[in-house]
Amino acid sequence: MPSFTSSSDRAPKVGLKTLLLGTAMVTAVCVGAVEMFWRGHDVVPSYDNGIKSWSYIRQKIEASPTKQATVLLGASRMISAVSLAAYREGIEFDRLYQLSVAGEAPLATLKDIAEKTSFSGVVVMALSSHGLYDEAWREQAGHVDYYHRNWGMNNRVNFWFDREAQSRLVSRNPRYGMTSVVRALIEGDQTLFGPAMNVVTEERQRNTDYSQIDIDGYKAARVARASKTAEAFTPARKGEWMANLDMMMGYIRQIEKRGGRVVIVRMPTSEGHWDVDQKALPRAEYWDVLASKHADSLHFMDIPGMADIPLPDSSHVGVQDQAYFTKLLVTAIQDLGVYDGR
Amino acid sequence: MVFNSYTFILFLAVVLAFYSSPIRWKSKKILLIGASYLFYAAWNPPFVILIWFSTLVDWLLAQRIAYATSIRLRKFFLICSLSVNLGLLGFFKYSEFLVNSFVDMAAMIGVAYQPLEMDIILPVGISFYTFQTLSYTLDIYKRQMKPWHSFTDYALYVTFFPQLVAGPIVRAHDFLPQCDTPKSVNWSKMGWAVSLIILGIFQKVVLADGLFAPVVEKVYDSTAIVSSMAAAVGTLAFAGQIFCDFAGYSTTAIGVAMALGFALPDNFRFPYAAIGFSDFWRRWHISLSSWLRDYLYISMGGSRHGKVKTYRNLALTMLIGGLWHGASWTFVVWGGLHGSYLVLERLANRLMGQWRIWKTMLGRLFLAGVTFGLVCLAWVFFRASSFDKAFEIIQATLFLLPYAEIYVSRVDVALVGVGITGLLFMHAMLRNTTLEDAAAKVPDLLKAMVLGIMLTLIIMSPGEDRAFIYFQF
Repeated sequence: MPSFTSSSDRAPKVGLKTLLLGTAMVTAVCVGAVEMFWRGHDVVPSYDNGIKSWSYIRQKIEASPTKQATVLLGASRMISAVSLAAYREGIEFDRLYQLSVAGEAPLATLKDIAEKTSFSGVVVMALSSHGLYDEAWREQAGHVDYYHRNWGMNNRVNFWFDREAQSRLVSRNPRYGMTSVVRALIEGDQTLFGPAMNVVTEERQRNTDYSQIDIDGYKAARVARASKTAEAFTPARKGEWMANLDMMMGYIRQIEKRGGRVVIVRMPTSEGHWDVDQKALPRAEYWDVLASKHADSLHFMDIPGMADIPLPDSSHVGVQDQAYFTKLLVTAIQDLGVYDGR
Repeated sequence: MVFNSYTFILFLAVVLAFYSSPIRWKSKKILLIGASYLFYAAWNPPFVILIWFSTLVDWLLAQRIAYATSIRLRKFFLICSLSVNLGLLGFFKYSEFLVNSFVDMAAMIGVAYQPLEMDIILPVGISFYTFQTLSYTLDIYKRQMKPWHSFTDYALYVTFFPQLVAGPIVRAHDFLPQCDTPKSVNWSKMGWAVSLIILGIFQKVVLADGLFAPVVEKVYDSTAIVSSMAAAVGTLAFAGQIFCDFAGYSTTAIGVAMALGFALPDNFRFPYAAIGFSDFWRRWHISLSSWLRDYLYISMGGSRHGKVKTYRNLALTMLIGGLWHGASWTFVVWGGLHGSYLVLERLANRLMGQWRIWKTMLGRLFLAGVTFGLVCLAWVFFRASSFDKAFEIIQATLFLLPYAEIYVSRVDVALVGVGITGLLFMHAMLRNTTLEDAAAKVPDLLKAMVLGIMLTLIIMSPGEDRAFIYFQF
């Protein structure tokens, strides 16, 4: 057998015009039909809230050394609770960046902002007491690492195109990708074929509409998961928790030395989630210790009206209450004097 | 820059636009060289310097080898070339592996040695372009070709972007003569080139990443014990993933090169329809297996010095082939298994090769099944991150584990089942033909329909960007 066979030599003759026109037409018809199908089921385009959109926002912070910038850190509670428009309206500054990552504590990002930027604005960080264990430092480290290692021109250009496609096509949302749809069809999951529970905006704000799902089952599953996770947070680990609190305070001081401010917020939870949290990490033994070390701390129980906001899954604010929640939060932050003189 | 990205589409459109303009052939070649460096720099710009160094060193040493006045000098310059190329490869790819192996061995005799953390970044595609530049100096040393007359052509040979980072590994005597003939955008073959590009990206995005990869990751990246079904389905899914991923890259590379008027060698010929392991290696990663055969196996004596040495040469070649893939003992075992398969096949052929049953359809199906099964067994070591994981997967597949924590869903089983059956069926159907011959029988309109559906599925397959598996080698 010869060591070299030129595949080009055997290339069959293919009419370029027929091929390109035919392929383009078939693609346009198929993609058009799929899009019409989704739109017919009230599904709208949504942005992927992955590592690239995070890097895109992180990059903006690099270019915003101004004292008027605000960065939101945290996990899913922060992403879904804050309306960026309402926040901007409250503080009257435009530079507001959502850097929270669903399911991951924000310590690695705080460290990154403290060490790798000259950021001197306001950091609003949603943190629960369970976000101060050793494993929490690793949770957003993947995002930070990706940003510093991979967020070059190539990925930025690619992201720009992808974002444009996501803004126009439902099919570019991973939830409605081919494999997800086939899986839903085989499993008989009908929830896919209706309005989505989560719609993510270009700025990484997540609008969650809990009316789309069986909320009781969803809530029970989430509380059960939180309960299982909380088993790891034993009193024996208090020393580790305290050491991490000190380490976090070090990074906060770094930002404050540059003229920045860091506000730590305990986001609202109710019934199931609150009970789990209180059982594992009682407020008096954990949160109040944190608050005694850092004056710019806000607990939702201490902000008038915040504890009354309905939380359908006992952990997240729905899209209907985002603006109201944000207004309360901004007022409480302003009361700390964080935005004075900025 | 990866083929399945918007950036690459933009990059290719710009390159094709300039390439089709009425400029001199030499300018077009320089354009391609510049584009190739840009393509490579999209990962890590400083590593372009490494390619420049490798290009320059081998160009100069090849001249010295060709015009050396004595055999000793020829050998000396060849050793210089081998040392530089393999030295760079060794430093970037194998330093940590060697240090870690040393630490493990020291630990076995009770010595706790803690080396400094090396944190070496592996330049993408270093194994590919190193083998390519080496083949040039080796061919000149063996007097199979003369030093090429143009440095521009040689630089293009080393860096030609369609195949720079993951092959196919092109030989100098195949590529360089193509640089003598002025080329432009090849409109007559553009239709087929576009078809190959869409087919390649479909294989990567829809099949490898969309269909197979999630199941593979669920099984192989889990730290928990997997069930028997999960282990079997995960391994089958990996067989599908690695073929679609790598063949997808090669097919796209061949298509892109064809659009620029260049021919690249085939890298795959429906390998999962192979009957026996010699047949498998004539169909899988052909450009590497032929490289290993020509420069390693034959250089060690091939089959010229008796059976025992032939078996030794086969085993050694495959072991080195395994190590070429990655700096890990699991890759060595993968290569070792394939070496053993080849040796056992030769022994079996001597003992049972004449049996009539092998000529029947049933006999051939049986052999193809055995080949595929053993190839899958070797894939376990290729994919597993450690020997513990590999043995766990094998034990689970053979129902030897008492319990399991990771299961695959009915949907996973159905999707992988359909995917792998389809792949095997297609390989079996096209076993004795080529994609080109098969496509020639299909009307253009039908081709357009199939490509349109493929393109739709590519658009409908968003999700995580997974790098091509062979980029890590």
